[in-house]
Amino acid sequence: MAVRKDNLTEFLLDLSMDPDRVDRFAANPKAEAARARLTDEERVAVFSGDGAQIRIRLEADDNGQGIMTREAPAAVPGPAKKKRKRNGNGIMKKKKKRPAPKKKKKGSRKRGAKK
Amino acid sequence: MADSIERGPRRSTRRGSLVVVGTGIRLVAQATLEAIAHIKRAERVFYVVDDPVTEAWLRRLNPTSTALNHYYAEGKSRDTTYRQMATHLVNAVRAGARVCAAFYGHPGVFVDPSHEAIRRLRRAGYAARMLPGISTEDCLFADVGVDPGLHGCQSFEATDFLACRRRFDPTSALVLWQAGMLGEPSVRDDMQCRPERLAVLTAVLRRAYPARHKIVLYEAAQYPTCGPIIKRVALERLPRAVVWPATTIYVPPLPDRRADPKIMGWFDDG
Repeated sequence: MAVRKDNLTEFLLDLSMDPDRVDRFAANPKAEAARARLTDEERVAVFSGDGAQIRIRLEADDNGQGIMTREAPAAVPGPAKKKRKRNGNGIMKKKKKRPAPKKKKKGSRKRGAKK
Repeated sequence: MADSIERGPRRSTRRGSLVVVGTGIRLVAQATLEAIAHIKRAERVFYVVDDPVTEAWLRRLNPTSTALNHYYAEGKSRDTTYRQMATHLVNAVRAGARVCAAFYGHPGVFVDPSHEAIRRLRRAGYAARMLPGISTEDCLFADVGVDPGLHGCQSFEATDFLACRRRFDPTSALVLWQAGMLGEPSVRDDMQCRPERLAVLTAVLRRAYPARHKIVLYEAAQYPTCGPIIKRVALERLPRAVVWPATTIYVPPLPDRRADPKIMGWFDDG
């Protein structure tokens, strides 16, 4: 029989959005834990009232991985570069045609500022 | 020069936009209706949250939800991590997507990438804005029963408070964030504030408060089955206290000075 690993997650999500269930849990925690089909380890964590223990249990349910140690997602594509029109004379090309000022050999002010 | 009135971001005709929202401290219950609506309708959702329950909830609200937590790494500078997160958001918007970025707590409190991404996108002509969320300080006001309107409230990051010798008024409430991370570059498992550093903080506070002034060590509840941690200790005992990274120190105000009769007289002016 497949064991649902998300019981604790679902249980905490339900409690977060249902104050009636929070009241029922406060009145009879064992009954609510049984209703949520929490495992023994999950019950210990939840009954402890200790956030650190719940966190450890959630991470254990998540194949032992902390949320901070996930793999990187697929890279987000950068913006598509617009094709320049105007007979192919882009801004960069125009700059190249300008006569370079003498100071440029030593490094422009902009470059200096970046350093 | 004429005064200027800022009425929020200007409308942009560029495709791609960013809305930054907060998921609050206590799991998903503190996300606002407005934040949930933006998460649902976004074409891409990116998030930095610190628990798998909120993560599951975000993915349920919007299947495109993707974590940015992988940018954190041991030994890596926080500045680099935050810049990379901001760049990730900027690139998604520049690619033309309607992006929603969700951060735990308030998305603009102790969250560099949200502010940086908004600044960069606005400069480039994209629509980008932030929605308010619930921060630890908001939880503290509710749990500890503090009204910042009564005596005022000063809020500092604890290390910054010491390093920059921040001036403060002890007759106004004082909140010190991240007290458990005094001088620490990153969080480690089971990390506690070093007693010798707490002693330095105590010495600074003792210049303004009596030794037996009761302060509050506070931790907001993150899970619905847990309550907040509110521990009251005398200031002189702070160096011996266990202070975790998530602990916020609240220093109640000393009694008010005598009010200025000239100002108080304004109430009688009719």
